[in-house]
Formats: sequence, structure tokens, C-alpha cells
Amino acid sequence: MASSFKTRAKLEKNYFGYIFIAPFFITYLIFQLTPLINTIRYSLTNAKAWYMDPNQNFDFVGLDQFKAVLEDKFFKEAYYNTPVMWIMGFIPQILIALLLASWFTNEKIRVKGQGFFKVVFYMPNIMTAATIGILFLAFIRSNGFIHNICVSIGYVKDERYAINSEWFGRGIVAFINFWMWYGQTMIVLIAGIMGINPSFFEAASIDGASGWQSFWKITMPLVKPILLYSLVTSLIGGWQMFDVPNMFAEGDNHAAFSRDVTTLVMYIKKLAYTGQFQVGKACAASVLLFATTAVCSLILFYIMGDHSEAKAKRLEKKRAKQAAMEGGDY
Amino acid sequence: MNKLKRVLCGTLALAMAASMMAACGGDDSSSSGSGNSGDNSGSNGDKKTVKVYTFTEETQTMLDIFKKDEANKAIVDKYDFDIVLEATASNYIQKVASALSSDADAPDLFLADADYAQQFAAYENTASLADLGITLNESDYYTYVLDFTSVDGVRKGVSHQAAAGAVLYRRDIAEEVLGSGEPEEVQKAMSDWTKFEETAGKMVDKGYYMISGIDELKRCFMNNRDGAWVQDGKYYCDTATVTQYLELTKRLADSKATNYVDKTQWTPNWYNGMNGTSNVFCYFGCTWYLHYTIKPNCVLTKTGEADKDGNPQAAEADYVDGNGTFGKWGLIPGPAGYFWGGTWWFGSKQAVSRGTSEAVAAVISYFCVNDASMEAYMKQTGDFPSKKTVAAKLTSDTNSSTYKFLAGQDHYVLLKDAADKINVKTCSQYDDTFNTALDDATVAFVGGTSLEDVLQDIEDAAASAGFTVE
Repeated sequence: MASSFKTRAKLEKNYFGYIFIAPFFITYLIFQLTPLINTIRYSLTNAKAWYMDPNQNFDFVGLDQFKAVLEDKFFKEAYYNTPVMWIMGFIPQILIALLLASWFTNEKIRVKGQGFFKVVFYMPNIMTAATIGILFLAFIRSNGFIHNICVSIGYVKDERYAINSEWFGRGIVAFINFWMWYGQTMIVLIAGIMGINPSFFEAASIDGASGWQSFWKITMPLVKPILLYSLVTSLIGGWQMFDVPNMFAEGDNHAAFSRDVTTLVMYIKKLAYTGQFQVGKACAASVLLFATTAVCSLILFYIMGDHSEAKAKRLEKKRAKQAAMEGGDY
Repeated sequence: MNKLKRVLCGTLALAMAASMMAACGGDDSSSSGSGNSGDNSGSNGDKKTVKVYTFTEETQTMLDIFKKDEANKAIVDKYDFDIVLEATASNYIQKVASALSSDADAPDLFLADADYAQQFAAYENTASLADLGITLNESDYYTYVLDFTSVDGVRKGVSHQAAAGAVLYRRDIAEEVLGSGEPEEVQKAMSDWTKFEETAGKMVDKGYYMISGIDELKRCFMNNRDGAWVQDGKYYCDTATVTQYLELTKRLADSKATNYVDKTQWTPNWYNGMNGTSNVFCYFGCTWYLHYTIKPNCVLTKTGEADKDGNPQAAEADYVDGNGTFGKWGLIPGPAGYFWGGTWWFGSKQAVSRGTSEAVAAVISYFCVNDASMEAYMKQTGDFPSKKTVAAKLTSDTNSSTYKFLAGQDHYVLLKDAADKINVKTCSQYDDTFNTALDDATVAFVGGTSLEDVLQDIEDAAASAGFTVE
């Protein structure tokens, strides 16, 4: 009796579990996997948007679209701009976030009003990128306050001139990304550091370790997985950067440096929605973006990952080999 | 209790799954649903529904005028008009394009701005005027109005307005710098680009700016090229005209004749030149620009209701001399003819098969074909008609704020001739792509990049957008 009850309960649990996870898989299948496969399929064709070509008479052209993309000067520019702007924003972002996170978690300093500061630092992330983009566009336009500063320090010839410098443009985009995301990274890192057993820090301080030493020897190695997580998510987000730079490049009065902040996704959008509406070429560019992101993530995982298991395996193999050689000697 | 929990759990899971499925199936069910409504669109009493897609609020006003007219009673009794408004151009284009390809969802009547009217005309399911049963006397129209949306000689759309371009200038500045503020005299000083540049030099000497930004002359020059950017899928550049445009703009920017060395159209800096905050001598505008853009922005005190963004708008009572630059403007043809924008009306092939083409034809004819109703609408709004026969009859109402804005100049007199000079051979449905490329090129060239490089950039942009470059 008792055993039959047990099996029944177990069966039902499994059954409900599948139903609960089903929506995700169904959604994923329809809205993510199908488009993904279709993107790859279309990247091998010369398809155009169907309102340019209502009957969808397209041919498979092999890798021609990839060739066209790789030869496109604007693709090369975008492929350069995107990671450059990401790196320019990410380095200060992770440094400031680490610094703030270690301050906020430091038992010795005990920062007052932590909650307030956390909210303030996180705030820019709540605003939409479009809002921030428009705000900064107004700042840098002639008569905007950043423009006025540039004029008064002589960076811009006189007040009639627009700010037209590629590095200024990339810097602004990088700054916005940094400013929007350092709070978020900080919160994630705080969670990571809080997860470290406090007795490590205690023991270290009893042994006379300085704050600097315990940061490098205890905090850093132990938040490495969290750092890796931040790095990978930010890297993927970085390659797909779109909303902020797009605000500088779209519309009747886009910024003078719009071309220098064009990212890959903006380039893809331009291919698919303007000119000849080249869906095939846009898909080829998307596939290249996907491949780039995948390769970058894998490299990061390899560099930052935990190799102790692999090391142990190698060591074991070596030992086994040695043992075998010794055996052979005999 | 346990059972209840289990039941609740199960229901919840099913509900989640079901809602998921419902969402996924959304596309199919909705299209088949409206498919029915499309087939028997007469289900609303005895009335059939005419689906209207538009990008402008003006359409609602126009349809109200149509309905009020007793002469249209027969149509109004038989049909209901269902308006779908989408103001963002890219969204609107996609919406119309996708709806047109389906028999069920297609609009019966749809409108287009000049930027994409040619694209709409090219769609297979856009009916010709003859299909819709609209007959018109072509010679009555300004030629560009019908030519613009003709595909292989088939007339597909028609507009109620002609958007002839002109130059608006400040009379007070002209009087100080050129000695006279009268249109005839000012036109003499700006009749071609050489004279335009000379006048610009005089403006700079007296501390005025000739134009607002480096994108001001774009439309005027681009309408005067010897061919469109794209011809039979191939890229074509009228290098001479483009070079002339770029070099003139650079010279004006370098000699401080432009208020800003930046694109200023539709920015606060542009409007500041209109209301006199900065002293800009002239603007390149057109028929609708007169009432829609420069008049409401030339006044400094605005007491009207705020728009949806919270910016105060000018009320009729604000249009008095002394408020901003009101009453100080004049209108002249300028150095070259051009046009800017306009609204075109189309019917779909589906309207013909559904039997609603009668109503579509009636509305289009009311505003775009019949002289009397077209004239009445133009008088009401101050807009400029697409028919020469109507334009000949119109004169400015001396009590209107537009008349006072131009210090007593009748804008119809001038625009009548200007509309005749419009050349649409320079337009293609891909102009959007090239306007952006040209803007980028202008910024780069003014900033010191060589002419060769910027022309190469435009060519590369064409190649990137999928056009054959030879």
C-alpha cells in the first residue's frame, strides 16, 4: 500500500514538471529556434523583403552573400566600431563596479546609506536607452551644454560647428553604456562577494593581511565565476549593441559622427530595411555576428574557466604513461 | 486539500500552456477571422466597410468634410469608413505592404507621403485609376502630380495638392542689406546660384546668416539633377550637380553664411532662425511648409494648446505683427524649382474585387478630381491644389493669417508657376537611402574630407544597399 502510493506521487510530480517547462520550450522552438534556422537558410539566398518581392522568387546562391558582406566597407567599419566601443565602456564599468562592490561589502569600512547609493547607481539602468540617447543628443548639439564646454575649451572651432570627431562619438556611446551598466554589474558583484565565507576575511586579517592583499588573494579568485558571468553577458550585449548608438544615427538630424558609431546590428538593420531590402545579405551578416559572439564567448570560457579538472586528468595521464614506461623498462 | 492543490496545479499549468498556444496561433486565427469580415464586409447593417490606411491626421478631417457634403449622401448611406492611422513612416510602409499582399486584410483606400508614394505605386495590388473608375483630364494637372506615381505609363495614384518649393526670406533683412524687401527685387538678387552666393556674402558682411544649416539646399539641388539615383536597378550619380551642391555648401559654411555647420532641419536651432532668435535670412520651403512649419514657428509667444509632447503651439490669436518675426516674410521662386513632399491617394485591387471601389473613387474624385470640391477644400485650409484649373481660380484670402504672415503677398500667384516647373525624373523610390548617404557626405566634405572620398562613400553606400555600381 505504502509503496504504491509512493510511485503514484512520483509519477504525477514528473508529469506536472514537464507541463511547467513546456511553455518555455514551445516558445523557444517557435520564436527563437525557427527564426535562427531560417536566418541561416536565408543567408544562403538572395532573398529580399517580401514587399519588394511579393512572390519571394529567390535563389540559393551559396556563400555569395557572405562574400558580399565581407567585401562591404560599411561592414568592416561596423565590425571595428562595435568591439571598440564595448571595450571603451566595459573596462571602466568593471573596474568601478569592482571597487564599489568591495567597498560596500568591506566590514571594516561599513559605508553608511548603502541602500541609497545602490539605488542611485542602479538608476540609469531603469531608464530606456532611447531616452538617454535623446538626452545626450541634445547635450552635444550646437547650444547643448557639452557642446558649449567643447567650444569654451577650444575642442570645437566656434559655436557654429558641430562636434564631429569619431573618438568623441565613440567615447559618448561608451560612456553611456558604462554609466547605464556599472550599477547593475556592481549589484551582481556584491552578491558574489557576499557569497564568500566571511571567516576567510577574518582569518586573513588575524594573520595580518592588508585590505589590498585580501582583495587580491581572497575576493578576486572567489568572485571569478561571477566576473566571468558579467564579462560574457556584457560581451554578448556589446556585440549586439544597438539602441544607444542608433539614437545618434537615425532620423532627420543624426549626429555628425553617426558613421563612426555604427554597430553591426545597425548595419544589419540598414541592409534589411532600406535600399533593396536585402534580407539575404542581412541574414549573412547576422550569421557572421552570431559566429563572432560564439567564438568570443568560447575563448573567454576557456581563458577564465576552471581548468583544475583538466589539469588533474592530464597529470593522471602523465602518471599512467610514466608508469607504463617504467613497466616497459622492466 | 491535496486533491485541490493538484487540481489547481494542473489547471494553472494547462492555462499557461494554453495561453502560450493561443499566442502562437495568433497570426493564423486573426487573419482567418478578418478573412471572413473581408468577404462579407457588408455585415454591418446594409453598409459595407471601406478600410482606409493613412499616415496623417488630416485624412480624418478630410473624410469628415466628405461625409458632411450632401452631394455624397448616396455613398455615405452605403459605406462606413474605418480609418487606421500609423504616423511613423517605416511602420506605416510595412503595415500597408503586408496588408496589401493579403486579400482579406488589404485596405480599400490608402494614402502615401512623397517619400514612399512611388514604392506604393509599384506594388502589384495597387489598382490603376482606370480600374477604380476614376476618369480625369490629365492636362488639367501639374504634370508631376500624375507622373510621380505612374508605373510604365499606367496612372496609379493622384494627389489633391502640389507641393511646389520656393524660398521664404526676411523682408526686414533684405531691406537693410539689399536695399529693398520687395519680392521682385530680392528674386533678382537670388535668381541663380552665383547670385545667391554673392547675396550670401553681403549678408555675412552685415552680420546675418544666409541659411540655417548645411542641409538647407539639399532638396533644391537634388530635384535639379539630370537623373535619379537609381535607374533600372543601377546606381547613377549626376556628379556635376552633386559636386556643385557640396562645394557651394562648403563655401557657405566656411564663409560663415550658415548659422550652423551642422544639419539643422527640424531641430530647435532651425526654429530659432525662424522666430528671429538668430538672424537667418532665408529658408527653402514649399506650399505646406508655409502653414505647417514656418508660420507656427515664427512667433515667440505661443498661447495655443500644447501638443502631445507638451510643447506649446501657436494659436490663431498669436499671429500678430511684432510677435517674433510674424509679418516680416516674403516668398520668391528662388534659384531653382523643386518640390517637397505631398500626399498621394491610392485604391487597392482588392477594393475592386470587393465592390467598394465606388466609394474609393468617390472620395478620391471629391478631393483630387472635382474642381468645385477641391477649390472649397483649398480655400478652407490655404493648401495648394494639384490642378492648374483650380489653382487659376484661387487667390489668397486677405483676412487669412498666411496673407498677413507674408506681409500682404498672395502666395498662390507665385506657386502657380513654381508648380509647373517641378521635375520628378530625379526621383526614385530609393531616395531615402541616398538622402542619408548625401547628408553623411555633406558633413564629411564640409569637415574637410576630399571630394573624391565623399563621392566614393555615396557609391559604396549604393553598393552596400544592393544596387549595381559600374
